[in-house]
Amino acid sequence: MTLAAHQNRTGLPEQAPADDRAWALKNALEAKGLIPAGFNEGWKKTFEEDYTPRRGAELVARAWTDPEFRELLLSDGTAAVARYGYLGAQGEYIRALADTPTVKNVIVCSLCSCTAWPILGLPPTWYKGFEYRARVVREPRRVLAELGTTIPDDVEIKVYDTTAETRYMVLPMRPAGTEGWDAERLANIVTKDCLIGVALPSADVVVEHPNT
Amino acid sequence: MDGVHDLAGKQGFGPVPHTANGPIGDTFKYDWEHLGYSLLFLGVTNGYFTLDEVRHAVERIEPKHYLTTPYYERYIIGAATLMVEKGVLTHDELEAATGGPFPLALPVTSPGRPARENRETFEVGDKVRVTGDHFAGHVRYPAFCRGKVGTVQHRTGMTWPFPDAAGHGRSDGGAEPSYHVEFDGAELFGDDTDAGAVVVDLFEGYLERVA
Repeated sequence: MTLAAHQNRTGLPEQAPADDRAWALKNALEAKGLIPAGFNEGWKKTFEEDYTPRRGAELVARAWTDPEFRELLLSDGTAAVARYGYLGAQGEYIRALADTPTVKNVIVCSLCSCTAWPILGLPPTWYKGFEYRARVVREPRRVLAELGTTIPDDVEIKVYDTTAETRYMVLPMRPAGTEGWDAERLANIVTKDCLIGVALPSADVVVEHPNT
Repeated sequence: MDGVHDLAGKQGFGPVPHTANGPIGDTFKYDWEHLGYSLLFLGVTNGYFTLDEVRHAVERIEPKHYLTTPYYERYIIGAATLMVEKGVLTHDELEAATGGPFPLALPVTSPGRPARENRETFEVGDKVRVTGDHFAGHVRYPAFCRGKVGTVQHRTGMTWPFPDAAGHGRSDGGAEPSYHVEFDGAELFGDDTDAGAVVVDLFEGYLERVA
């Protein structure tokens, strides 16, 4: 059976490979002179190099060590992030969600993939995947446990669905064993998953901060 | 629209392919993927369409096509669809440049709508109900909260174009704040949930006061 016949049988449209279509769209626009020089490359650099979870980790570490900043971050996240110059596309209005001994916050965008890009980095594939989008609003405790994050039964889980223009970050609780650490050392235990809310920071988990 | 994109609360999906703090790889897996975002920003920057229209275009991808298409490819299709619909490119030009078929999203089936006129302003702590309307155009609320009652937890300090209008290229939708409305898990999903609460960011025009 040819590929086309197979696609017809399943009701899917015949289509050229994704990379051919993507570059063709760019080339066709470029041929009309509609793309300023360096436009796509500039965004690519922003996505890969500027928008990183290291920024969110810095904000968390500062909030853990500076009560005044913590208060600002929680009362006006946008202003707090602006102090760092970290506002940007898909991160114009920020709200930080503080975990407490009785509440664990988790974020999702069930309709697409919205995330606070400038301070969390672009959403990873699993966050954009159908499994997470479908399941986490309904069974967050089970999803987190499957990922390896067990939340005690007496802690309520609140799921924030990013369905408008607010972009959230989770402010986790500072873990035990980090007494006396400075902000830079603290930032090294705040991962992208901690900022999304599906992992808890731990004094034992020092992570590399990939640009993703 | 109650499209296939509205996945929240749907059952039958398997495990999330990830472990906490596990590796997630590079920002882009393939060298073309960044075009999915940068070309939609080109369209927005050049004034061809709004980000809400991009979301709507992706939601209009035929359901089987949507469900079998990886993430960045859906945004390539969304951007291409709007470039054609806005007259920036023709579909023929696109397919000639591709050297093969380039199926687009399905046509718009609704003219969109402006915001409700009898909107109310709410304060933190107010009880609100999500309007019970059904609308074939672009909306920014998940179906699971339609008609449900929750409590305003936060009122945003900014306003944004009403998506049901902006998603259709209309300029008569005005701008509104949104509210972070907290719903009990049980209000949304009965006893078939382990969520204590779900908070949904809802435009003012979607909400009604509950006495």
